[in-house]
Amino acid sequence: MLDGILMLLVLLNLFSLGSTRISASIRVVAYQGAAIGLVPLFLRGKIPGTMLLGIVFVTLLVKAVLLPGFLRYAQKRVNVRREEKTFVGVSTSILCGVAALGVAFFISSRLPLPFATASPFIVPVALSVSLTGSFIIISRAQALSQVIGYLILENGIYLFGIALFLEQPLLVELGMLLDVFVGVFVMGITIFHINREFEHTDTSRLSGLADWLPEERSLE
Amino acid sequence: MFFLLDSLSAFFLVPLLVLSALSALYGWGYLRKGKGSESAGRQWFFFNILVAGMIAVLLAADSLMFLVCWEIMALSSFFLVVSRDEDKTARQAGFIYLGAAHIGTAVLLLMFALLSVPGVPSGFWNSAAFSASGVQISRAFLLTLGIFGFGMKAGFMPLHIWLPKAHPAAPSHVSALMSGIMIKTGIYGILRLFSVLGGVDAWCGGTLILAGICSGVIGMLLALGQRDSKRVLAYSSIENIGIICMGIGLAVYARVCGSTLVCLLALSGALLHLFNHAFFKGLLFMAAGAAAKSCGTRDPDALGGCAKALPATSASFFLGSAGASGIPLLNGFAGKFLIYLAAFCGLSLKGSGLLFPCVGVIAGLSLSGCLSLACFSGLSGVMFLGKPRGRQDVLSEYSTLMCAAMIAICAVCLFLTFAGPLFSFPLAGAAAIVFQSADFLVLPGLADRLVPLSLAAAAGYILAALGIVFRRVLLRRRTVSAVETWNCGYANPGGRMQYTAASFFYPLRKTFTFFNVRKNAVAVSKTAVFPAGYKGEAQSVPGIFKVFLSGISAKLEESLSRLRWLQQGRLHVYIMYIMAALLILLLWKIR
Amino acid sequence: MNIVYPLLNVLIALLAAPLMAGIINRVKAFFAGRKGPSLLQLYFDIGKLLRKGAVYSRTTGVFFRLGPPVGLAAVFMALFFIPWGAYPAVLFFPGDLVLFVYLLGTQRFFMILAALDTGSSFEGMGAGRDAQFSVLSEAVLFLCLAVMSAASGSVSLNGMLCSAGGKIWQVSPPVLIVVVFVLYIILLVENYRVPFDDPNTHLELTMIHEVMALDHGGADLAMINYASALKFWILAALPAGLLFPYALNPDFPGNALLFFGIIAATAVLTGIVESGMARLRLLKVPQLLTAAAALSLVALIFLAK
Repeated sequence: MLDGILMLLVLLNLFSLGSTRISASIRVVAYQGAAIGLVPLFLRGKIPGTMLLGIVFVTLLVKAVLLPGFLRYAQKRVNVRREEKTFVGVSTSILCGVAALGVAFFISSRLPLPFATASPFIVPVALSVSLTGSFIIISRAQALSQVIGYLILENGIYLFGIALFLEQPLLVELGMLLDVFVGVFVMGITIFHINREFEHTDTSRLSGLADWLPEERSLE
Repeated sequence: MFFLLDSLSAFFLVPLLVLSALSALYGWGYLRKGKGSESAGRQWFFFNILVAGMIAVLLAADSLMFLVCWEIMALSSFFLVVSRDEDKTARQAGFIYLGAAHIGTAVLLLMFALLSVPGVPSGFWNSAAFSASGVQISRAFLLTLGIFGFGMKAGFMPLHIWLPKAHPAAPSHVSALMSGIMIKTGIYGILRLFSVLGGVDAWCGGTLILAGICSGVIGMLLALGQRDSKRVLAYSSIENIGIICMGIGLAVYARVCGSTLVCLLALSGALLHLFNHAFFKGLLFMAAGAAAKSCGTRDPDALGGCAKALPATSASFFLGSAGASGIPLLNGFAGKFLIYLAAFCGLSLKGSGLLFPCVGVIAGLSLSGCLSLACFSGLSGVMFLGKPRGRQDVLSEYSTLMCAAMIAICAVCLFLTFAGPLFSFPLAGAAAIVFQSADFLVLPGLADRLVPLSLAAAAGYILAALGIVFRRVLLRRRTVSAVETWNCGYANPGGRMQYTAASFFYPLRKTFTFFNVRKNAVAVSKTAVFPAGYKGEAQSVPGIFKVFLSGISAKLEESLSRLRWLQQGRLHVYIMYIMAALLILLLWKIR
Repeated sequence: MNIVYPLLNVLIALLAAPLMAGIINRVKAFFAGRKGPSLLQLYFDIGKLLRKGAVYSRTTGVFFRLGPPVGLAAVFMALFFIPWGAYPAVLFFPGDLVLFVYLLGTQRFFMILAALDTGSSFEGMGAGRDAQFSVLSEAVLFLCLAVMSAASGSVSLNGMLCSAGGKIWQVSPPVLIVVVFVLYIILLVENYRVPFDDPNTHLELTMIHEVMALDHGGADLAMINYASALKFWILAALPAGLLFPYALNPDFPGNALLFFGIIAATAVLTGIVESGMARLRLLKVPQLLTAAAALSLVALIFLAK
């Protein structure tokens, strides 16, 4: 069952790489958050039952309901439907996602983990989710896509933290969650202001703000 | 002892002898009616030297003899490539070919120098003598040199630059021989090097697999939509060399991982494909040359509808295309089948470390196989089927001798389709020599694995014949009439309305745009107020290589131009250089 | 006695394959609110076509006449390598999966040549697009077979599907679900169904397979239609073989019916997919096939650990 959820996470990665529509990406982030929220239920751990359920509930609430809802609100305000400019094509992104999975498996086979994890796939999948998130940040130009990529990256780190199941996971995990929440909130407000000022949220045109450029280039 | 015949040499000699005989027959018809029959004597001179050189290369037992014959082979083929020296592209192709061949030979010279032992001036090229000689040089370095040097002749990526230029420029029977056998001598060299060194490493296998995958896939992608049919065939040769490299690389990798079965299957597949490729590629070049002679152009987009007028040529081209596409009904399938089988066997052996190479080989083989099916079905369809796209004159076969040669090779190809099991002992013997171990001779034979293929091909022909007979029986008592093609009701369709090769391959090239850059050159004549006319040319240029290589060559040219002062142009200075070099060598030797 | 049951299964396949086309059309009609053609419509069509004469174009030569019989022969041969229910395949040898895929490729080669033989731009367009899709779909099919081979430890189709396929589920269930999904996508591509091609039309937007058969008529068209129905059955037998519950006892009637039922369910699913989805833009098709290839690679990576 845990393996099934991990495979689902990988498939959601590929789906987020393959789609250029913002609403589809937001839905992917929601499903990923839900899947990751459910992962602690399958880990044999030192946490007592009620606290475990509490963690699961809070994680699901934040990752699968609140954050995607906020992103949808932002999308409606900014009125962005699809990602017009990706620096890498769709097919290439998907193949890079698979390559990221392979790299993640390779790295995790070399990492000296001090204790065994519940499933041999957790650490590689967590790494691959993080790599996918960073790839989305690098390859997309829309500001909302960057936030989505950041969220996916945080999902991966969160999964990594759960997998290793530190001594006091509760406080660490809740702290991370708060951090993510505040980050997205601030980013969303910034996006409103950028949109209001420039009437677009295309981050590839940020270099238009510079006073000088390394070489003489006409600015669009 | 200068010459040695063993199983490995014999395996390469058989296609060489048969193909050179048949291509000589073809060449007799090809050259006889050409203009300027005085050049025919020169061509036959170099042709014979080429064949003799290739035979000697395959039989050579020591390094010096090998190198001398290698150089003879390269020079004689150069003269054959530039035989039509009034054509500027042929001259240019010849020079590129000569340059590439000599770079390879220079590297091989270094390798052979390192393989030699003080006391024996000509070095060792067979394994028994080498292992007894105790040469202490890094095996990795020797393998690198060998793969580079022999790879330059074999033509896998990225060492393939000369192939698409040289093979179309040569006369068709020479192209057939070059594509069929000469590039295989590079593969022979690599295999002989493995056997001489007595052992290989995993990185070597991995490199060969990677080079094979690149050659196979990218080579075929570059073949799509070319405006010269012989260039397509040259790129297809690169693809097939890629397949052979994949097989050899997988064999090496499997040997290192300890799986002898996978190793035998992969190597046998590579060698069998090499054998079959010689024949179907030779057939394709001959048929393309015959079509070019009959119709006057090599551009597939200007041909069309020749099949009824040129029955022998078109039948040969279709048989060759079926072989190149790897259809089970012809001989191109058996070698690929064995390599696939090796890869699947490697996959199914759990925990052997062969997973990723095998997956790479399977992906590479399937992509390149499918691309070649698309390419050859499209090319042969556009060239020979449908309506004529340009010329409307009456066509006829150029020469009966050419037809006879082509039909003979068709018969050989058909024989090879069913003759797979006959190869099992020669292949096992060759494998035993390459890897220097007798395990290969005791493994369950390849015959059992190849017999189902022959039976399947036979069953295929019989079932197809039954289908045709069934339809004929059905139609016997019914009316069969002939009309114009439907064309959605258009009353007067012309030849120019058909799909051309460029349009056929357009969807495929759009999918893989990374490797194909279409260069559209438009030249406008700027003489008068009103433009007199313009010439548009669209060419498929392999973009990445051009950018990469032109950058490197520009840098090289710039840095080497500083040495230009050495070239004084005066005889005395050059004599001084020679005397100085001799003096320095003498002083160094006696220090 | 051992060869009789597999041969009987092949006979059932030969007789029942056109029924699947009928099921798909009936499901599509149901979703469209119509009554739809009869389930046995393809049988009637083939019978009618076999009774007709033939009209050949003057431009065509040998290959136009060779295409349908050779294609049907190739697909017919491929039928013998698939195991049915709990029985092994009629023919099997190591590496028969490669021959299987290349027999389908043979059919495609001859159909492309037959299409180009007519000298019509419509068939040329269909042939070009078919070549494009086939490059990617064959690569994906090989990757799926590689996953199945790595999971089951066998190099023959007989050892990977149906009764011998039980080992695969014990290795890793999520991987196999992904493989079944990818095999279904390949089924849709190779049989020219929505979302890759619309079998109802042969207009320029949807010209791939239907248009390659545009100039064929009479017995040729009957052979082409029958070969398409057989190809659907064959490609549906692959995921069906993976999904077949392996723990059943090999008693004859129950297993054959169950297998037939899974294939019929695949046909129903295809009808639903055809009714529910629109055809993809042609630019998107390579992306979808690349995604399918990526899925099989993911399955392989998961299997490697």
